[in-house]
Amino acid sequence: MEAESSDGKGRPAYARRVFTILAVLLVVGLVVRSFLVPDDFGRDGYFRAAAPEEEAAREPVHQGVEVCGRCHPDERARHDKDVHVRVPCEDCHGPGAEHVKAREAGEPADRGYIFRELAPANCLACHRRLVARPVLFPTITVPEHYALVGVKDMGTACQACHDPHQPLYLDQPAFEARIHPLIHPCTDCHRDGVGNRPRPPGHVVTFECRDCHADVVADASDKAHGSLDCRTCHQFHRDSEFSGRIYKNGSPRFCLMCHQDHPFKARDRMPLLASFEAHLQDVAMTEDDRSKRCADCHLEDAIHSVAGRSRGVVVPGGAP
Amino acid sequence: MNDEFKGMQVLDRRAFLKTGLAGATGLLWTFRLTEARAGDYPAGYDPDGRRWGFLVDLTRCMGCGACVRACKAENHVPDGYYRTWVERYTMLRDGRVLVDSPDGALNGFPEDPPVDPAEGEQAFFVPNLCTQCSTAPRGPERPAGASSRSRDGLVLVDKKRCIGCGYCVQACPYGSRYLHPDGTADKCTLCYHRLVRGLPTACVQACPVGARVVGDLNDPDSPLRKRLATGRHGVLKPEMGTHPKCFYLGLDQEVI
Repeated sequence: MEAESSDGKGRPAYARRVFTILAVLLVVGLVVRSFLVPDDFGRDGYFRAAAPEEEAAREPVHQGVEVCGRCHPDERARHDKDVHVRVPCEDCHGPGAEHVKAREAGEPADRGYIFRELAPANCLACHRRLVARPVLFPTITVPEHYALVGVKDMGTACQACHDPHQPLYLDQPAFEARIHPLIHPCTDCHRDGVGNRPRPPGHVVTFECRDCHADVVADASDKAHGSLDCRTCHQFHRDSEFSGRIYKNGSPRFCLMCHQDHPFKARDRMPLLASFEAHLQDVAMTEDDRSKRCADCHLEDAIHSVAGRSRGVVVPGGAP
Repeated sequence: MNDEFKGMQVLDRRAFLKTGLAGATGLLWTFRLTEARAGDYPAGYDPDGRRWGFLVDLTRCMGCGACVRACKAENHVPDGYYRTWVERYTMLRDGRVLVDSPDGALNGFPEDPPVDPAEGEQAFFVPNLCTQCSTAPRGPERPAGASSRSRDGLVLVDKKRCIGCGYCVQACPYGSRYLHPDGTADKCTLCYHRLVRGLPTACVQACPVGARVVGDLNDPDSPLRKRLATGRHGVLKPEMGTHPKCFYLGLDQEVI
């Protein structure tokens, strides 16, 4: 059967039309595609090559301790010396981008204000005792801690005794403290105590304070502070799997974290001072006494004798 | 011609096609302009030759959630979604393993899991984030070509191209991606915008115990490589063949 009409080569006209239309669609499609697909698509893979750069163009929100320290050098200095040195400002104060922007633009002080009154829950996010927390990280349960330090008002904020910028009032920067092997009293794992139970065969042998400081530990046990764990005062910082640092904390402010009188303190738990200066005034016999610190008078009678102590060497620095 | 159209300009077919084509071309042109490349790397940053990696030290993590809070603020992560989160593994003496992560640890861990202490054997925290796979699942999981890889090895989402189909969210073996309420996929970028400026990621900066480290895997002197050299480490789900660049120090086999 003959086609309706045909070109010179005998192809039917409808076939020509189909191919023409397909060719036009192909060209239009390619033109449209060239507009829709970005130039850099496919250069580095099945994506726009500029996409990573666009992501990188975003402005940072957290400013970092360096930026904070530019305007708050005093807080920075206190903070860097003490055990919160690794806690950056913005962990507690929140991100500083708006604050820095407002200050740099000279806006009123209430703009971008980021002072934050810490609730106990904020401090406990790190310091709450949890089974899963590493045992050498300092943790508390509030009732136990308040019983230990004689706080009777359970609503007392942590900052009433602890300055978050320098929680332990260290004498020496935290990372210049004396290096010390890790110690693990039985109670680190057996939190309810082990009593006089013998160590089961095959049980891991741990290293305790009394293994090196037998004289000091024995002497401390029948003095006023004898019921305390050594690490209550000799706070400890873990650097690695094997060693850490023991802080130097002879400052009166350290002792006063417990012995300062506050309206929320129980009167019968321990001797309380209205202030260290007033106490010095009361007891000072000579002019020299006025520059004394707590341990100068109370070490032998209330804490422990240091006659038998052994000390290592100070190694400054250390990885933060 | 109908009376109604008297006096109006009438397009013949040729004029109609002309105008139509010109209009369509114009529209396409404006669309193309909006797709033009926007950002450039900050001065001094060269992505070539680098390979960003990450390390989580499980022996140090104490589950405070500072990383989760910092990440949320830094990356404007909406409520209920997490680019990084912290899980708590509690192993019981009878062999059961409990895993929980209240609000992704945004407010830390308010209490111990409801387990008799005598039943528990050990417990620890496991921070999670995008593992930045070297060989991430690829193919039909990203129909729009919105999952990109930077030249320094990071897997990123191109928010302008993402159509929010959610295939990549399902394909990720680590649950690192989520569908943002704005209709696009979202995930940890390893704070790429901070890395290129020489800053650590928000979570690394926020971690008070140094449990997170970010650095260049190609640089033997980077803090990351130095910390990796200090202990035995592993990656999550090695059997998936994704070759993650997020390493875990002190990883337990129970962690999935």
